[in-house]
Amino acid sequence: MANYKLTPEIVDIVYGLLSSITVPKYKASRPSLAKLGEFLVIGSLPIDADVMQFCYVNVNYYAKDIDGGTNIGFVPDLIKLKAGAKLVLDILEKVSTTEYLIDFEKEQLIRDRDEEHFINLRFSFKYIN
Amino acid sequence: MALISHFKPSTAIKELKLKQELEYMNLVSRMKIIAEKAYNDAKQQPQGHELGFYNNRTKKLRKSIGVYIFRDGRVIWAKEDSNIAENRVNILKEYIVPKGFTVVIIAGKQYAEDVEGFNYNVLSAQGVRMKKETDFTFLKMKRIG
Repeated sequence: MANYKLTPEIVDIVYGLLSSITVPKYKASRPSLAKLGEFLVIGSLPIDADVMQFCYVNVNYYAKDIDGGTNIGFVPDLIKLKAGAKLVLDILEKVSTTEYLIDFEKEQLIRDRDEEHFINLRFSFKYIN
Repeated sequence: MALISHFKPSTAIKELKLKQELEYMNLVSRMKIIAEKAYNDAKQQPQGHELGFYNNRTKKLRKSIGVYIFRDGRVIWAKEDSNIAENRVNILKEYIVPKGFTVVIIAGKQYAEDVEGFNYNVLSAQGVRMKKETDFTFLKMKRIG
């Protein structure tokens, strides 16, 4: 019987790969009580059940907005977002194993709530059973 | 005794083209089944964050999902809620190839990507399945040919 992986297991693998990043890391979704600041959320879209399982993994790097000044208000902290996203990308781009393959698909900046943005890094994850 | 075969190039070419067209029709009918399945799966997903799905509050995102089969750059089959101009504009802008067949499943609303960024599937899971199945269909076609 094939050793099919579930999405929480895929998230665990990526979480483990990013262990060297020191900001808080959360799985699946942003905890509702997480304080505004820098942190990572690692989640995944549904996975199929083929011999080569495929799913998309989202690694979201959050940062609190900065005050842009009078008549501007809060704006994304692009310096922190860029540096954090780069750290993630540097680690996951180099991953190569006989069990799974990770490929960077795309990146986008998303506003989550007031005074908070994140960079969404989307990877394709192929697990070979 | 003699056995004579008259070879007329024009007739042979006509027959070949007819055969090719039949193969294409066969291929399109299989692609329709695959595309329709992906469309229905994406549209009929449960809703609600508590279940791990996006909220279908305004209904606009789900309504904007459509699936299209193109041949040589022209739509030959489509399934969508209504004629969604947004979808056609997006498809023409990004995905159409002038030669051959293209199957596209699309959510016309641009914020679909944001929703998926929050780990709520809009159509990626169905799209991946659709791609695998169409690839398999083309492989089978190659084997037949």
